[in-house]
Amino acid sequence: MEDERILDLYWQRSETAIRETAEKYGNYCFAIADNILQNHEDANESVNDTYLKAWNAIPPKRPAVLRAFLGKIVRNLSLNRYAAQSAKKRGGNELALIFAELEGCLSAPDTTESEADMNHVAQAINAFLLAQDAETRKVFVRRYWYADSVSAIAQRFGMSESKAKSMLFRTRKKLKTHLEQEGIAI
Amino acid sequence: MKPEQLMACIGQIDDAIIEEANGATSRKPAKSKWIKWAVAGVAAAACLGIVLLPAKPQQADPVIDETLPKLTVDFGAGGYGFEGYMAYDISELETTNPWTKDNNLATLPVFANPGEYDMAGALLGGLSAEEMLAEAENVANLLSVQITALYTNPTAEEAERMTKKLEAMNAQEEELRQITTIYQAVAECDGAKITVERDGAVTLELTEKTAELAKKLDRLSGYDSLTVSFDFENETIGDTMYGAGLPLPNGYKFSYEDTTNEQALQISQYLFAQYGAFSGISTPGYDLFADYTFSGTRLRTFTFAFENEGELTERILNYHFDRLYFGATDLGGLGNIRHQKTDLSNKIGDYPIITAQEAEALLLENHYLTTVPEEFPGKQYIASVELIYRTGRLDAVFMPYYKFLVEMPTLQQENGLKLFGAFYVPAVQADYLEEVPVWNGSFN
Repeated sequence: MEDERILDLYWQRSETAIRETAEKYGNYCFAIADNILQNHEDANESVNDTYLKAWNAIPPKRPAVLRAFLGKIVRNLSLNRYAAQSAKKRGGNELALIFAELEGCLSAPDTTESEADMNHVAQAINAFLLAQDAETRKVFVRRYWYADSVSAIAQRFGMSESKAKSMLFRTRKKLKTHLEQEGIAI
Repeated sequence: MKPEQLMACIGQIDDAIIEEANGATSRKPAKSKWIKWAVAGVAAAACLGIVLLPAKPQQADPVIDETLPKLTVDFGAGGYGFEGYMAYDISELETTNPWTKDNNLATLPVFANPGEYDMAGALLGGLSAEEMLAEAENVANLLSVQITALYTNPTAEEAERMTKKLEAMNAQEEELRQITTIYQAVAECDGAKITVERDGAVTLELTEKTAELAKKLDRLSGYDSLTVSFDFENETIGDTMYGAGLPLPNGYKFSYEDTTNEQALQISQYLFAQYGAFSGISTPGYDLFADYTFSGTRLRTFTFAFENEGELTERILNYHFDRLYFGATDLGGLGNIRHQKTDLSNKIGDYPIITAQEAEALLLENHYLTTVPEEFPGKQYIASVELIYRTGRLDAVFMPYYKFLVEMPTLQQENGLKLFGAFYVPAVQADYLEEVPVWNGSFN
């Protein structure tokens, strides 16, 4: 079913909207949640929470790209759930690796940024990614947005794991330089 | 900054970049522009592969009307997802579109969409908070219901508070606008709720106590976009909560799933007779379109009535731009009635169109637009053609296309369901297009 039709169902307050969303995007959402949480049960809960959030947000929202809209919700919910679990010392090994990798981009890792600063950083990252070639951009986004494992990325793009790792390493270095050039010390 | 925060920042990147990495497009994401490509949905591993070439004059009609501006093919912003329909046979996907192959239409009108929308699909401009409040009061007065609370979302105080907070955080102007814009006015009445949106759309939520107000909808005939929803008590079956909707008389069955065409027609005729007068439609045609879910359930999300009297062009326009929808609930009741009449006041002109046969020739030469994540499989798989107007609220121009439903042999389901993908060819002659679409053969 086209997204416009699914959005119509949300606007009509039909529960079928959830069913159609689940049928069309359930696997997509689950993959993101599972990448982050590495636990099927938690990932399922995160996905169900995503549907509820979408139900509460549409209307009044009418997202231009439904899949990305759901993806952002499930990613945020899963990261929050991960944070809660980390406190209890369980789950999420891949994400721990990702966080360790991202530390390499940070010059002041112990500071806490304001929301406005974070928006500024997000815009700078966006501009940085747009300036990269498509493959570099996609590999970076698969790792740090979708939280894919390096082996999954290597398989997806038909490259060796070492090439994927080296590409990610170079991109992180370039990102750090870019942020510094933009006057952003993070 | 902590890595968790950096991860959160990365979470805010543009939708287009996220979609690109999901294998949905091979183009570089545009910076702060409408996303011009559609995205593939179901198990999509391929992209919408389109390039736009400067249009070359067609040999058939050397006389060009210079007064008509050239049109830009604007495809995608309103139709996301992989557009495919499932059925065991193409005949199950027939519509009641008044257009037929045997016609003598030489031109069709093209309109500019009067609405302008932002990246999130929200309307730019539109009614002010005061105008929305006035409209909400007007609707209450027309229905003779007493308002118990009248407010906007967000309220003026909330909007001001958020503005101050965001300004203190040096938020960008666009962000400020998106978050603080007052997007609707609400009038709560005893047993009813009236909502007015910035585009003028009115929603009337009725409960069991006020359901009779639906019989007074003729008083609201001046509103082009009106939705009446029957917000009756929910019913819980198992772990799931269902909306009951307005109960229908014995003998009428209306639900999203497995309602036959005969049942759908019968209930649509009954509902039109009961509630349809306010729409101004006098000779209704009924569209009962339904397709199937992957699991083989026949799904009909709504039916609609349209004015089916008049010249062919008029009926085609009515069919696409002036619809009275009836929405079912999962429990077989009436969930809502929605009249949607698109503002066609910005007519650009009457444009010469090609025939369905000429469109098919263009399709075979790959001059098509699609969101189907597969290559066009060949002439023998063309199952049907109809002339349609794309009516996405985000489309800049409302113009006609030929819509071909094409059986996708590689996407057939194990349960025997066939998947028919939609391929579009602009119906306006190429001489009047800035560029013609060409599938570029590339998939991710």
